[in-house]
Amino acid sequence: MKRCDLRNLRTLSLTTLLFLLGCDDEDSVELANPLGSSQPAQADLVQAGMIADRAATAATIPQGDPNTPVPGNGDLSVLGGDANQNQQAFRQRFGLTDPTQEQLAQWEDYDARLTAYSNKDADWPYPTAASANWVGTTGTNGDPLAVEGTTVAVDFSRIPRGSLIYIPALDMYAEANDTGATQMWAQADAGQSDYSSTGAGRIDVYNLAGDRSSGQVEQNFQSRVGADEYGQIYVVYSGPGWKKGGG
Amino acid sequence: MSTDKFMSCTVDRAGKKEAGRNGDPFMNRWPNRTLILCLLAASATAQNPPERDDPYVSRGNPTSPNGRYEWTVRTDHSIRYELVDASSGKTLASVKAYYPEIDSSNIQYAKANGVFWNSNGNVVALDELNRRRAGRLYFFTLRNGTVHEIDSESIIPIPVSANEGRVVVDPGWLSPAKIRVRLALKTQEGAFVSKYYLIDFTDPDQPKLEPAT
Repeated sequence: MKRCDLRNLRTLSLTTLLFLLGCDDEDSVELANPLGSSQPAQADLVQAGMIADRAATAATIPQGDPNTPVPGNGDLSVLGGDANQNQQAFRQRFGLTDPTQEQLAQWEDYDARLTAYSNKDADWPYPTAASANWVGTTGTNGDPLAVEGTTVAVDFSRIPRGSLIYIPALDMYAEANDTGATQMWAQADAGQSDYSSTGAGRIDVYNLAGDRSSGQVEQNFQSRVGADEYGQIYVVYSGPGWKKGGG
Repeated sequence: MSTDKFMSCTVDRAGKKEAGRNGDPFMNRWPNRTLILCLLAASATAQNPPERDDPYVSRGNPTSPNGRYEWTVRTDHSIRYELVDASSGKTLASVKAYYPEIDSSNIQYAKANGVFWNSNGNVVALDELNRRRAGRLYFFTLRNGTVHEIDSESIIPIPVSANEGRVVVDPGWLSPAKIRVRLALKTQEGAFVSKYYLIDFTDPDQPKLEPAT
């Protein structure tokens, strides 16, 4: 083999290797937290703090007995950042309390598959964008951002964009204002999740990953809701009307 | 990125042989350099989703190499993609968008599509925006004015064990008949896995699949 051919071969091999490394989404995501720390990243903390501040500022304290306990004692810290604070502010702003049995009986309930997603995704290396949310926080490109503790992604052909839902397993009210690959039918879901024409299908709960890897987010979430991921959800109000007093 | 520009990068095997014969050192290096530049250029512009800048830019070129056909996004009754004969205005193929309901977000997602024609203009890939594995990849073969649709998942099925998955163009046509794609998976454990394949459309009726690196 000629010397220049060998040189060509070496150049091609090296460049192809670099190219392949550059294409490997998996590594870039999972290496984000090599030590497995669950502490949030600085950028996430800044974003979470900003959202929480805005939430607190915008919160409306409901009229009534000031000694009444703040509703909602579910621990949403598994969702990261200020999930608990966001949920409280969300409830206060829209006058949401722990549901009574009468309310639960009135709301539409579904068997749903509860899954987790986060801001660390190899196939969307940007801040996770939702449609307009109650906080009004946007990313640098103007996209409204998902909010941990109140945002879920759904299939909008099943649950209309902007609907208010309640997830008992998390004791969490959430706004269905994001979407993703939630149309995807999983064969394993058959008989366990309602994929009928009016069913809820999948409910993808947003997590702010912090320093957690995507795998750790999934593991934490599954340990919170159960590894089988199936549970009940209620559609409190279908569509965004509840924000205008419809709920 | 225009498809024409991309296809001009295609490695020409005949050219490589010719270069070898004349013994010109520059010409000997030319095919490798071309392949490298082609892959690098394509990887920088055809990733789905784009790796940087605006994730909502369209990719590829909606117009066929001969200018006869063009893909458009329709938003009147529902959001869909249509392949139109540019001269007659006749719609030759129509595909419903992954998010078909008409609203500003869904229109933005639909317009962020990628259209990749092969240099012969007889196969085209329609690659919807990959937003967390939402969207789909379709292939269309064109022969004698007839268009045939092939869903990428009929060529590369999504494993049942995956939590989510889809096939995307990555980075595009490597020759007039072969396109490189990526199977993007999210596992039940929350990990992201990419597997690369070449789809060979030498026989458009029976595309062949081969693993790629």
